[in-house]
Amino acid sequence: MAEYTMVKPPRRALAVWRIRALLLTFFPGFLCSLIFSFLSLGWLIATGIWIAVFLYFYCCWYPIKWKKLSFCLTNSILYINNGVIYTHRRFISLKNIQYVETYQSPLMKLAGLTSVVIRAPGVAMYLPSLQKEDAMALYENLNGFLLDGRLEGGGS
Amino acid sequence: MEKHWCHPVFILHSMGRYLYLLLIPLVRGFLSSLQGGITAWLSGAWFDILVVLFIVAIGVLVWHSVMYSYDASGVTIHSGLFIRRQTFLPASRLSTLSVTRPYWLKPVGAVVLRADTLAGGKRTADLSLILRRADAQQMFSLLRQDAPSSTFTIREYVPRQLYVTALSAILSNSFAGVVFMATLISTSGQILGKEIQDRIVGTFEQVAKDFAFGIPPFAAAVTYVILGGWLVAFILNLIRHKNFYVRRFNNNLYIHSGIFTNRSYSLDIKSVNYLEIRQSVLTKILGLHTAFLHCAGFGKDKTDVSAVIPAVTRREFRRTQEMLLPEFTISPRQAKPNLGSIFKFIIDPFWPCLLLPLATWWLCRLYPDWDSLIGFIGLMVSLPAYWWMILRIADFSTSGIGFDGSCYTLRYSTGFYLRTVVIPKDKIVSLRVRQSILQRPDDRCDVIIHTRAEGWQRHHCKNLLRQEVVELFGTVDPYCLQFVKTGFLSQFSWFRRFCNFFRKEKKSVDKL
Repeated sequence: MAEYTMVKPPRRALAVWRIRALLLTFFPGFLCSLIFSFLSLGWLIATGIWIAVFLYFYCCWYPIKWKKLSFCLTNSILYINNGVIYTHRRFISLKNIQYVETYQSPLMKLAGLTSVVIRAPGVAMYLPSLQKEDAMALYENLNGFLLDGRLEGGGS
Repeated sequence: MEKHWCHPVFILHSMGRYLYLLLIPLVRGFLSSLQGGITAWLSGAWFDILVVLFIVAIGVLVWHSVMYSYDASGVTIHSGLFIRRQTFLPASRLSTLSVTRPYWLKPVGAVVLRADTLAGGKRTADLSLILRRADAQQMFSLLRQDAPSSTFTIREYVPRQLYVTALSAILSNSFAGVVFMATLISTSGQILGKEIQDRIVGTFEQVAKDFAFGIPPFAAAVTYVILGGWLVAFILNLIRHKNFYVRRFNNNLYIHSGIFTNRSYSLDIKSVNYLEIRQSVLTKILGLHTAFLHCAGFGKDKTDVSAVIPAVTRREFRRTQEMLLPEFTISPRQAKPNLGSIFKFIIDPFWPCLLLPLATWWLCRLYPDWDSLIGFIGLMVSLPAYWWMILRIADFSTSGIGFDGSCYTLRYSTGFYLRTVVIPKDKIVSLRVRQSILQRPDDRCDVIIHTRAEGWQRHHCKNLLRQEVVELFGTVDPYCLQFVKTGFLSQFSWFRRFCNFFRKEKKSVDKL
C-alpha cells in the first residue's frame, strides 16, 4: 500500500494571519476613537471588546487553525483536515474536481505563501496560506490530473 | 502559452465598478452650491479631477492585471490587482462556452466570452472576458475541438420563422416589458428633460381614458400596461431569437441567434443534465412543444437564449429531437396516478378558485359604489386561478414516469407549466420516495428526483403506484426499497433493519 505524507502550511502562515488580524484592528480602533471620546466609558468598553476579540484570534483561533490544517493528495482523492471548534476531515474525489485556483495577497507574497481553491460541483475547498512550492505542486498535479487523468509521481 | 491582454474596452467595464466614487464630487458640488456658489466649487475642482483620474487609473490597472493564455488543453487566467489569482480551466471540463457580440461593442470589434464548468456560482460565469473578436473566435474553435468520427455527420436545424415567433410569444413576460419601458421612460426623462417624460405619461393617461370601452379608466390603464409590457417583451425576444439555428457536432451542440446582439453557445453534450419540454395550457391546446436544455452555464444570464427547439408541432419536435439530441429518448408513461388521486392535483387551485369570486362578491356588496372596479379586479385575479385549475387537470391526465433503459421521462407540473423532463439515468443524484398517511391505503407515493449541476434541481411526480416506482428504479438502485416507507412501523430504523435482515434471510433461503 502506498504511503502518503500530510502536507502542512509553514509556521510563517500563522505569522501572516496574525499580522493580518493586527492590520484589521486598525478599523475598530479608528471607529472607537471616532465615535467615543478618549477614555470615556463607551470607549473603554468598545476598545476592551475589540482587544478581547483580537487576542482570542491571535492566541487561540489562528494557532488551532494552523495546527489542524493539513492536506494529503493521493492517486484518487484529496484529503483535507481543517476546522477550529469542530474538526473537519474532508475528502474529494479527483474525478469530481472541475478546476483549481491559486490566490496570493501582497502579505502572502512577502512571506512566500499561496492559497489554493479546489472547485467541484456544489463545493469549493479552500487551502489557505500554503508554502508557495507546495501550493504550486498541488496546482500543477491537479491540473495534470484534469488533463490526462493521472498524477505525476502518484500524489504527495 | 502566449499571454494576452483583454480588449481595451475592458477598462471602461472595470471602471463601472468604481463609478460610485463619483458621488464624492456630486456631494461636494451640492455642498459648495449651498455655501459659496460657483467660486467655492471651482476652488475645489482639483479634487473632482483627482477622483475621476483615480477611477480611470483603477480601470487601466485592472485591465493590465488581467491576462489570459490558452491552448487546446484549456485556458489560464491571471487576474487581481492586489490579490493575485491564477485559474486554469481545462477544456475537458467546460460545459458551456459562449461568445456574445453586443451591438454596443461591435464598432470596437470586441466580444464577451464566457466559460462555465459544473463548479462555481449559480449566477455568475466561471470565466467572463471582453476580448478582440479574432482572439475569441480562435479560442472558441481551439477549446471546442470536436472529437473526430467517421460515422457521424454534422446536422443543422434552422427553424421556420413562425416557430421562432411562437417561441418569442411564449417566453414573453409582461413584467420584463413593463420594467424595460419604465426604465426607458425614466432614462429618456433624465436625458431629454422632465417635460418629455410628463408628455409620455400624459399621452398614456389620455389613451387609457379614450379607449376604456366602458370599463373603469384605472382598470383600462392596468390592462394596457400589461399588454404593452407583453408586446415590448415579445419584440425584445423576437430580436433575440432572430436567425436562430442549432448545429449538432459529434460531441458538441452549437447554438446561434440574434440580430443586433449575436449570441453563440457551444454545449458539451456529456455535460447536459436533462432535456425539458415546457408547455403552458395554451401551447398544450395548440400542440406546440418547446425544448430547453439544462446545462451548467447555458441560459444563466437573463438575456441568454435557453431554448434549443422553439415552439414546434409534435411531429416536428420528434424529428428535430432525434436529429439533434438522439441521446435523450422520450418514453411513454409506465407509472401514472390513478383516478382517485385527482383531488391531490386540484386541491391547490381549488381554494383560490372558490374564495376569490366569493371575496369579490362580498366586497361588491360591502362597497356598492366601487362594484364595477372591484368586479373587474376580481375577474382579473380569478382568471389565473381557473387557468391553474385547467393546468392541474391536464397535469393529472399526463403526469407519470417512463423509462427506456437509458433515460427516465418525468412528466409533472410546476407553476403554470407542464414539464416533460428527460434525464439520463447517470445524471440522477438522489431519489426519494415519499408516502403520506393518506397515500398508504392504496399504496401510492410521491417521487422526488434531484439532478445536480451548479445547484440542485428538484423534480416531483405525484401519487404513483409504489410497486410501479420500485420496478422502474429498483433495477437501477438496489437500495431503493429501503427508502420506501410503508406502514407506521417503517418510520423506525430498528423495524427497517429487521425487515432488511428478514429479506436477506429469505433471499439466502431462496438461493439454497
